[in-house]
Amino acid sequence: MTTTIATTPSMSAATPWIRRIPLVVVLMLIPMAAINLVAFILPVARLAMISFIESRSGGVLTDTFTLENYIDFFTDSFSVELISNSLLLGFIVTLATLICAYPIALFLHRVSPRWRNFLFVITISPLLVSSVVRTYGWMVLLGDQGVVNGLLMSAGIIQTPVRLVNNSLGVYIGMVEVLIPYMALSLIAGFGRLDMVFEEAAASLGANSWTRFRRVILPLTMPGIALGCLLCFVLAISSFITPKLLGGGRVFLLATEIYDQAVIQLEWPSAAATSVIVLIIFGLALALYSRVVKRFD
Amino acid sequence: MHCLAKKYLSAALFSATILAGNQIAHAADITVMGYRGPFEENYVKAVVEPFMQAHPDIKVTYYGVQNAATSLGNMRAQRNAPQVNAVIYDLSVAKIAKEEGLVAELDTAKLPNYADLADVGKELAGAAIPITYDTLSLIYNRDAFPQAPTSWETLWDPKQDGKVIIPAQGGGDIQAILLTIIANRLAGEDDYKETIEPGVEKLVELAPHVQTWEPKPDAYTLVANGTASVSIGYNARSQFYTDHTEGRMQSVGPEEGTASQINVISALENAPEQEATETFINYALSPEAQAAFAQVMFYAPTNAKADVDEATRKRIPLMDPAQREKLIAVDWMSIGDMRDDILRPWRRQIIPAGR
Repeated sequence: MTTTIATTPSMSAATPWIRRIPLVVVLMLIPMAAINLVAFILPVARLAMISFIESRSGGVLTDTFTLENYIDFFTDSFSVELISNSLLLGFIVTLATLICAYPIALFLHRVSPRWRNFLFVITISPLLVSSVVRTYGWMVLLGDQGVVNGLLMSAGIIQTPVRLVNNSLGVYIGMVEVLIPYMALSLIAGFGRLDMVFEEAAASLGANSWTRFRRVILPLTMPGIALGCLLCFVLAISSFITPKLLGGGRVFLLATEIYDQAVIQLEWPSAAATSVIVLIIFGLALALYSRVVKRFD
Repeated sequence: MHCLAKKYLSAALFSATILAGNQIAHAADITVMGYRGPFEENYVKAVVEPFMQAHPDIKVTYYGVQNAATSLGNMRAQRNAPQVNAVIYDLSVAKIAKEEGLVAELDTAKLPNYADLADVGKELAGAAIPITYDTLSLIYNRDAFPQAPTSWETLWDPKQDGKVIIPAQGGGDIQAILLTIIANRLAGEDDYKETIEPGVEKLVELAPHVQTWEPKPDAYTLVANGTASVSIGYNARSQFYTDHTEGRMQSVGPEEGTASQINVISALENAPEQEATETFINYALSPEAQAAFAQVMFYAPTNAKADVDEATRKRIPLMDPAQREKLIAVDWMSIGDMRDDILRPWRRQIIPAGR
């Protein structure tokens, strides 16, 4: 009796909300929700569980639960280096990608529709080739015996090869190239508000090209910039293949550390704890993004 | 007549069914997990196929994986219902598998060939039986060295600045662990259990000369194609690559001695077909299987009775009495406990010194 009285108000409050969703929509959502549950939520839950398992020396898993893996991460100065390296990579690569992709996206937005589709396909065509293959291409181009060093040496600009790969510089170059199509796509998607009419109005009022860009174009393209930056930042700090191939083992990042902990050191609980921390960083980036986007709406 | 023929036919069919049933009852399918690439290719040819010819009632499928860690991952994932019957992997990883209860403790008395195995790497008894021995070698590009190097000190030679490759994987790779122990000896400290500090300092000196700590696709290829001139690698793979690069990449067991890596074979706990698995393991330890694999892949056999021809013996440092004399002993049972102590300086001192 008591139960009935207690649940009645909440049920009546929930009813209108549920009724607003048509049954067919609920049925259509079930397959995707089931796939998400099996392929994402359950594995992540399992990962989170492993992060609390204690491991003995050498990576032997035990049945004991502990917070040690998280305590070890946050008390180890190397973790600070990992987080700062990953965030720095994320910021620098995102900024460089934005600078490279923004003029391309603006040009594509303004070009005549006759050429737009063709140029659009050219812009995203690198995505047709695996990023691993493209990264190997960079290794060939930037290596000590690569095309770039070869040209510089034959031109007499340098006497010995400059180290362009197997370090942070190589990772930055490779990552920017890999992410430019993603940034360009996001920018174009977010340029919906931009209309030549506003620029013409600003010009008729005496604004020079720099002022038009700063006061008209940039604010109107901010949603695209925010979207592109979020996407590239998340892809950059979670990137693994490119830093692994171009970093020469010198660039320590969160993603490469997870791989090393799991596959080289066999420390699955530590790898799981680091993964959960990366997931939290992603969550924070998304929350920050939502706040930034709200300011432009 | 017609009735009689029918009776004969029925009897024949009945007998055939019984025989087929018997055949099925004796037949076993087992899966052996191990390293992929050249190891898989040659192991199947030298061991698995001859075994199946000798035991037509047992079918063996070889399942190749990237490395021992991947094998451990699969074993953990299939703990309750293993899809694999036996695994070939590294001794240090086998220790973890044993402690987690993933592998069966075989009764070595039931494996006649076990008694003929050398003593090295037998610490885990029937849970992980040594199947191949390998050693760390100095590998070099033939064209970069008119005279073959003979010492580990070649890695520190200033002439090789920017041409040295160390496959370290952040210090976690077994080759990096072995190099730490070797560097420790070069710096005057013979007992790595006492301290590895001299070795770390020696490796810090090496760091600025290193081109990459994670060669892609691997050190052998980069040395063979001249991207680097000198590196470290396992002898078995080095010999294999020497043959496949027309000798552009060469290897040597340095005069200061080298250290060994041990691959073992384990039967999985809770896996079916234990009898067939034990039959295969016993065959894999036999002199003929060990010799056949040594001939094609240059791993030192663990069976002392394996008869390997002279030309192959010359290419396996562990089969050279002089090199065996100088072998640096590594206690793989305690390396797990030391891993953090080895990893820490690699990440904080050695690799950063070469940035």
